[in-house]
Amino acid sequence: MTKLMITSTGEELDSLVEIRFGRAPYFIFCNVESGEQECVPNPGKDASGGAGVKAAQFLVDKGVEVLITGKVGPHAESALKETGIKVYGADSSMRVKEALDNFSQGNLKQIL
Amino acid sequence: MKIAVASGKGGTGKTTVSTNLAKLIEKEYEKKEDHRVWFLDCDVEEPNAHLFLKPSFTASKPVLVKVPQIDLEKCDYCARCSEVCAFNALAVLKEKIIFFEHMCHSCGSCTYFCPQEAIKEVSREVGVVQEGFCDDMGFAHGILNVGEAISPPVIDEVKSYQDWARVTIIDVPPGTSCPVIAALKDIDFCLLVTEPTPFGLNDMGLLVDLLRSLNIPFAVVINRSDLGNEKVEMFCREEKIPVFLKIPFDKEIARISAEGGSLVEEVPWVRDSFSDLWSKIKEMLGLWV
Repeated sequence: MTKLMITSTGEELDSLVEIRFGRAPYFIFCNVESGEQECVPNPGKDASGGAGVKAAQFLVDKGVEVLITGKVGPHAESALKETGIKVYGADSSMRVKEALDNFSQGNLKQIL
Repeated sequence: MKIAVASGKGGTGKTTVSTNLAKLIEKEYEKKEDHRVWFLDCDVEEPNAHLFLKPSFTASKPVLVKVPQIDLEKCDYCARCSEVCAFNALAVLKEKIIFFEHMCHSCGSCTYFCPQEAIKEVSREVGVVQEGFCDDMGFAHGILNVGEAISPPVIDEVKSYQDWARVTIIDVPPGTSCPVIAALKDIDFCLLVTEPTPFGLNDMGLLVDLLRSLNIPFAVVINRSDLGNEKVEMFCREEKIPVFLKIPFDKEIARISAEGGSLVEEVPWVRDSFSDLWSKIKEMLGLWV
């Protein structure tokens, strides 16, 4: 069972992927096997600092194993490296659904 | 009397105004009493007033802040410290704690709330404060260590000198955020140095709002006043903000400043303008000095 999370600009699977990790408006969680999905607003979006650290903490608390996003900042990177969460890169022209399809077909590049 | 020189926008001539005003006041007080003027450079991310005032430094002390140290023997990874950290400086990831020291504001919440009492506070150096003298003027500035993100602890340390003298001139960092507020703390008057450009006007507007909410009396100096447009002056008229000095764009001023020279000592008309500026400040504050 793979728990996956994608940073998104909106709440729908048709929304575009958000390429910033810590400042993403929404996190969309997907369970690859069961197909279950859940969209959660990013609790650290408006943090004055350390948004990436807060987001990494949130992912660990949620038990996420794979993250799909555009770019991870330096603080979030050092936090994520400690977690064993695999990070795959998407770009801003992709919709969340396309990013998911690309991931399952093995077309996304692992960035961390 | 504590007078701050601030600008909102960077590069408008804050240090030119603050160092020359300090020199002028020092000359006025010369031989009356020792060390009646102190100059504090609170622009700790890039202090440069020493290039113009050329102090001899007599002392230097480190600026220390408190940061958490976690005893992993006692820690049970409950993540309470990470929850209460308002600055996201702590992450508790499974059985691993990561502390981002540059993000820590030394608030002490993690230590206070740790149920296991596994956290103690230790000191970390973030910069230094140097003090000295330039002739009869006292001088202090702070230097934030390269790579540090939080300057107010260093500014607070420089500000600890502000009640020593009859007149203290404080060079404030640019902007309107935490370092500026730290530098403006407990002052009597602020000179706002701006330039007649859209950027100068915009950032001046932000600083005017800040000074008004802090109830600090202020007046404006327009540098390079013969360039740009009229909008800064229009703004001051509409908002009833006094303009105490206009400094034209002048090759001689640029040359002397670039050499680290003293305008009030080398250029008579500049000395007269600063003398007039000082009279206006004294008049506005009903000063006896």
